[in-house]
Amino acid sequence: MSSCEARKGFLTLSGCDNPAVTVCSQCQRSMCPAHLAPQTGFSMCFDCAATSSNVQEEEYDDVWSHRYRNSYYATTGYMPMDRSHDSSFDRQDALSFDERQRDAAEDEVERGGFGES
Amino acid sequence: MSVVQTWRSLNAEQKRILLDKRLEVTRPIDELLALLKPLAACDARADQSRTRLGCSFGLALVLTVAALIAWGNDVPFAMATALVLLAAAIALGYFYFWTKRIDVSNNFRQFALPVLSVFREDIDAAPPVRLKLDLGSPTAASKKQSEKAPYSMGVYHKVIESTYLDPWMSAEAVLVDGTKLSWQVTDSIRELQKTKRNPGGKYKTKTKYTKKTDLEVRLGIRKKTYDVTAPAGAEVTSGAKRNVVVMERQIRSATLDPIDPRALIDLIAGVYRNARRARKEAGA
Repeated sequence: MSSCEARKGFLTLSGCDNPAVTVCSQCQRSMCPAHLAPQTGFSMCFDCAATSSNVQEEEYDDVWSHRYRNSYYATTGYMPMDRSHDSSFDRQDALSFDERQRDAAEDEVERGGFGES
Repeated sequence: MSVVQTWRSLNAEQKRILLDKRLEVTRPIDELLALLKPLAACDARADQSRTRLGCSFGLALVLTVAALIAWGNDVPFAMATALVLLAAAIALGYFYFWTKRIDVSNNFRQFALPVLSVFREDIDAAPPVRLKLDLGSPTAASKKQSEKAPYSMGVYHKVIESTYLDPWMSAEAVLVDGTKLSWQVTDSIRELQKTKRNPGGKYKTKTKYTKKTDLEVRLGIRKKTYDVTAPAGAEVTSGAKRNVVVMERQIRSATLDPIDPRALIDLIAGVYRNARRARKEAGA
């Protein structure tokens, strides 16, 4: 099966890319287990569960988070940047990613510095 | 599940956090939420039970006194009834004060946890999140900054004005896009204790609060990832690899209730609204 088609995030959106195990019974998108709502017996993705009035949320679980996200985008007009939208990675992107990993290692050494790491 | 069952399901670290009302941890976001969510569940159950326990405790005390009076008047079975009621009052009182002891500030369930849950997928899963929370009372003696000499005002013959400073939340995280995010929440509280004597000669004291919440957000945004224009009121400094955006906001309220988590989410989202994909990446 293809990779999971869930859109992750709040400030920015990105793909999940985990291997999908099933399709959402509502939207028919391929989903990995992590993006299926347990409240629906793992049959619906969180996006669909969030829009369904039949699905109960627990305090601050993923259904709640997705409902909050939907409501926030709708009421504020916030449009998150889709980080995987143009996923045509080239050599420059790969170099940038390598650099980010190097930065992360430096950050580990020099925790708390904001400006130059 | 009752509050006692929920408490028993917590591990030693979680119980310690509720008793100390303090938390200072550095761990990945999913582990952090796994630590915090059961605490929130326990706090919610304790809040629900406390009112019921308090009312039952008060009623049991009143009935115990009534039974003791009846015992003094040789009413049949009054002694046994009084002893049963006394035992019930002791048990209810114990549980009432125990739920008060494990009670944490509503800032935890109504602000800290929603914010972390909303940003869970934005926060990089591997680098640990640093989180510091003080969930004790914002008007604890240790947070008192000043107390003015009592003065009179209108019908109130004694007014005591105190101020408190409660820097109750700070957090630092690395986001999936490489942005370094940190924020701090500090409450400054003014307490007015006003005492008057009513026509019947009784003294009555009212306490009023005004709270100013300072939110400070810092985002270290990678220049290779985003071009940033400063949102209104923000301060942007340019480093070698990152633009650092600092934003502040003050919220005033007339109660000690938690502020809406959206205030912080708006501040952070406001920076992203003003960010564009860096030209190097956009052109890729």
